[in-house]
Amino acid sequence: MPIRRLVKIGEMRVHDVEAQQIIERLVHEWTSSVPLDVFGPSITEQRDPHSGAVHLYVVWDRFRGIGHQQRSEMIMDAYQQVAPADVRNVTLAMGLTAPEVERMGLDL
Amino acid sequence: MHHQLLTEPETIQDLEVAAAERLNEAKALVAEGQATGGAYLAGYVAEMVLKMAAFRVNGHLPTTAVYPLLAPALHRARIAYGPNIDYQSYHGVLFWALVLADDRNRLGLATPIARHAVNRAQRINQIWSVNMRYRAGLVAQQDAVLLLNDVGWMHSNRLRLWS
Repeated sequence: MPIRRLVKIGEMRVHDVEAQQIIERLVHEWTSSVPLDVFGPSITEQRDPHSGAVHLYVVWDRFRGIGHQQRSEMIMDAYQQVAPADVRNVTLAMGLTAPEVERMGLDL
Repeated sequence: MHHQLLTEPETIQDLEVAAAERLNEAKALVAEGQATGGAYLAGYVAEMVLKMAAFRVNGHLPTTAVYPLLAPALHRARIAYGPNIDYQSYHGVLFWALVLADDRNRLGLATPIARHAVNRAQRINQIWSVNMRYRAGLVAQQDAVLLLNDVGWMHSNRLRLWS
């Protein structure tokens, strides 16, 4: 009998190779003025002028099916390469798909 | 209820409510002489209080989801304390106390309260770990009472930890 194995979306993790590809793509988008294609991530850095705290938001449909925790970890791994001196100021790193942004009513 | 738990991300205020509930349950268990169960729950109270403090001190609101705050905290801690800091999959009591101490220092806030929290977290760390869930009879009654004392201090001082 065929077995269907279900994994809760929030806990789904991609394997290391795919995670590394996603991190490399994020680093490219962060550092290059020319996006690879129109389907790439949309990155927003929000800095509090008083505390200096940085919030990172990445909207990318490639996150679909990946748990939110791992999305956040990949964003931080990319930011560690892009702006190592600024990592200590990051207090939020959120990865979302476009439909999730719409559902949450965020202006990103 | 179970479905709701699976689909809605935890927020900082969820931790606040759960910490109070777990603390009462831990006290009841220890009072009944069920030291390991009481200590196990009490450790989570410390974890939740320190997490809340580390998030609130950085200006996050009670309604903020917890998941996007974890990885940034780990990266900050690795810079402050080294790449091998033991974060116990984000459950480490000492880890969160150290994150809080570093954040308070970075933000220019008074640090004595954070030092007290680190000292107590070190003691808790000697008795409690998330890995104790599959073990029986680990904690002596007197250790559970000591642990509950440290955890109770954290819970009573939670507002001071982030202000």
